[in-house]
Amino acid sequence: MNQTSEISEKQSPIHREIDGNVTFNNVSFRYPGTEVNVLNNISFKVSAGQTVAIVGTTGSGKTTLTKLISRLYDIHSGQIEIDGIDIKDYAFHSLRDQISYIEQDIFLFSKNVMDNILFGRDASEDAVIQAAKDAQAHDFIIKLPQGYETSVGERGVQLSGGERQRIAIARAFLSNPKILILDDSTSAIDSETEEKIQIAISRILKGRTTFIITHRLSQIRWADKILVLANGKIIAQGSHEDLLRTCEEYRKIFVTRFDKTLEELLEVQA
Amino acid sequence: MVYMGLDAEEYDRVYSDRVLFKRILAYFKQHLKKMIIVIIFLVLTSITAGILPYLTSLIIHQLEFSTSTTIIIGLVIATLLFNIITYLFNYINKTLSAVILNSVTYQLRADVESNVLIQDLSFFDKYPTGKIVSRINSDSQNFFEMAQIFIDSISSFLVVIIMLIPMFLIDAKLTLIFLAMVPVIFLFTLSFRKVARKKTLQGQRILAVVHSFVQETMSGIQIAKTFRQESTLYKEFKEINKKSFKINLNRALFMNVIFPGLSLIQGVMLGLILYFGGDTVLHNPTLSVSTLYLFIQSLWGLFFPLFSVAAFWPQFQTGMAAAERIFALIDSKPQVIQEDSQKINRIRGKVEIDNLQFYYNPEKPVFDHFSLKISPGESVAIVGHTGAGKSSLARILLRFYEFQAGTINIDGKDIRKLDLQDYRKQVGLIPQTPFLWADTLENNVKYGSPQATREEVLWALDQAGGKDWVENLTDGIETNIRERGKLLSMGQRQLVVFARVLLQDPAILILDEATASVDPFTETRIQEALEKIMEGRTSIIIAHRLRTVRHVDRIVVLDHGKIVEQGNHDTLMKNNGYYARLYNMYFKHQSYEFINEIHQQS
Repeated sequence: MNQTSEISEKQSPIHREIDGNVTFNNVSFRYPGTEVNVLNNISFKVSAGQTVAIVGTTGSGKTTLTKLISRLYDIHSGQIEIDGIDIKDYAFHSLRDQISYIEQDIFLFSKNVMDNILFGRDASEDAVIQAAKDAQAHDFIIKLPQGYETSVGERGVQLSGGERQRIAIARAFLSNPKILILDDSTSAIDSETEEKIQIAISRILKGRTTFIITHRLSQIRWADKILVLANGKIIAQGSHEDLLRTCEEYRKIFVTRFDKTLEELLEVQA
Repeated sequence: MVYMGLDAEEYDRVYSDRVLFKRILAYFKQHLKKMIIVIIFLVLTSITAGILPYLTSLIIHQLEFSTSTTIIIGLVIATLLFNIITYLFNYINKTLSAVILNSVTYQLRADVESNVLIQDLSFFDKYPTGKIVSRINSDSQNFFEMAQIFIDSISSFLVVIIMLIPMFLIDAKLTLIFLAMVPVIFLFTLSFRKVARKKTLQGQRILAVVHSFVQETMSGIQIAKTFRQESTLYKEFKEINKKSFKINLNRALFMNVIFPGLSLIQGVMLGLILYFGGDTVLHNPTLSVSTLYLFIQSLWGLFFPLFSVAAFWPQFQTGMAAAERIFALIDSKPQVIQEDSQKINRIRGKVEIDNLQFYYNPEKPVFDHFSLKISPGESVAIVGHTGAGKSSLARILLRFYEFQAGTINIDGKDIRKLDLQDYRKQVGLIPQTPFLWADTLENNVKYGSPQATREEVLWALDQAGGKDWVENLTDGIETNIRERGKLLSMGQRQLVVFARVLLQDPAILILDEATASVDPFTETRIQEALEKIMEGRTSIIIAHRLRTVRHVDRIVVLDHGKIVEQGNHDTLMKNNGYYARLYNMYFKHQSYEFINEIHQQS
């Protein structure tokens, strides 16, 4: 229980390629040097390749939860396992090479678009363009003054939140992590951009375990598992259908937004 | 590039020195009695200060020609007494003038602030708040300093006159030599006047730019951090700060030319007096050593007052420029003018806009012959592309901007003839970005309805999406939610504004729907609360939510200030016209169909 805040690698840590099964066992967490738990008794199981949508109000602990998966912080009590092995037994680079984050505020270097997608990796120009196309970013990139050579970031062209997000998704296509954590907080006013962003998100989820923090109902609705967080606790979890039946607050979202009855909502699912 | 942002504001105007002087004097007139006392003591101080060198020269004379210790002791005591009296006179005069100066500055600041507060929103849209803040604070400070210099200079001037009289009686020739140099001092400093004024104005404007930048940075810090723009901001700040540094250094260097220049003149004058005076003492017995001493002493005594009178102009310019800027702000007139103030109580909320003409810029009319009637209690969604006139319509109805032609009637009465306070009480505004004060949650809800009880506040919060979240705040309803409500989430801030409007209970609601992404739980509360707020009120909504356009009584489709379509959602969709195209652009992604199908498209 009395852990130091310092995160260290075990002696002779495990190096392995991970599949992406994630288990949280009664995990509680408080930030180093504080007395109050931010997360309390979090337990859930995700199979490799599944998508988990994390929903909840601001301050419910969504972002914190995702930070624990790659051991950015050590937990206070409980256990986190990847493929049945405690994450504390893994070598750091095994975790961090195979777990990627797309954060809420996406950082772009003061370099060109190409370098920003490459992010220090080695890949052919064709591979970068393919990644950009998959991420629905190619179209807006070629419209920039110098296309892929356009300087972005602090000293370059300013990109919108949605555009940055798609650059980050292209980056993720290239790095192809086993576990992806996507903190999605953008919102587009127009349907066309919204459609592009959502297609990009839906594509990057495939073939990897993904944790997505999102306000987008389509991403929530189609996730394999939804975790509903409130004040650092999971108040409901399950599939869309499960939650429609069991979680009143969740049901209300869809009933109110679309003026549909529970039966109508379940119909499409079937 | 260096002078970007240093231009005059639109409300700036040029006042002649005479007009400025009159305006300034008007402020001092209120303190006439104190002013008279100050002037009396100024004269007294100048006389006693002028007598002191004469006393010293008498002592020297006694040392030279007499042996009477009694007289010398008497003279020494007299010198001491005169010093004390001078100090006392000076004390009274300085204290009183400090009182006057601070009162005048206080009044001036109060006048600016009260005029700024009555300005229309258009005024604040146009001018960054930082610049206005700087004008109210720094400029009134500069004005204060100018007024101080003004009083000091009057006193210096009196000292000069009083000291010149005995000097002239003792040796007219030396005095004339001395006086001949005075115009040189004045010419020297006056020649800098224009440039000094310009440089000072630039200095003040760049200071306002710096202020405004810092203020914006602080209020936008979250965004900046989110986009990791701190270093960019810092770079920009460095750029502006460097500019400010250059301009102010340039100004300081320029001002510094004046003072060393004066020292040079002082040296020349002293040389001339010593040369001619020493010559007279040696060859002409009419001038004694003690008299020459008196002369040199008076010269030293005169230099400082002369300096300050000469330096008075360039420094005076700072204050005059400040006064000019302040008066411009005091004199700027609001555009929205009520022709009458007919009292109204509860209104029904009938809105009739007839033949409206409105523009920000005459070459680009926003509305031209625009008409729209809204029945009491009707809910109307206004939709259209950016620039269609949605926000302008809201601003006009809120009386934030003045329209140029046509009529707007509220319950059949001309909007211009209503009591503005009464009218605004009847119009509730929910802006796109909620603005909350750094105060308790309770006071934020009560804002606009100060008489509301704790129960009413809780009721309003409950109506506006439920009050359970309030209990999670450290001090519940008494939690200070910090600047702009930053302790609350975006969605919660919207709920607070809803509660505020529910307490206000207006007959007309104007709502600009937020577009920020909010978590689905809070979003659901917002949508439910919205319905409650609209109930029984005339609602005009700049709609961004699909649910809203589907629920309102009528959708008004705007394009370039013209109504191109009207009707409810279903009818308009069937028409397959302008609205259907707008729907595909802005609303489709919020539909159930989209949410269900997008997954397949990937």
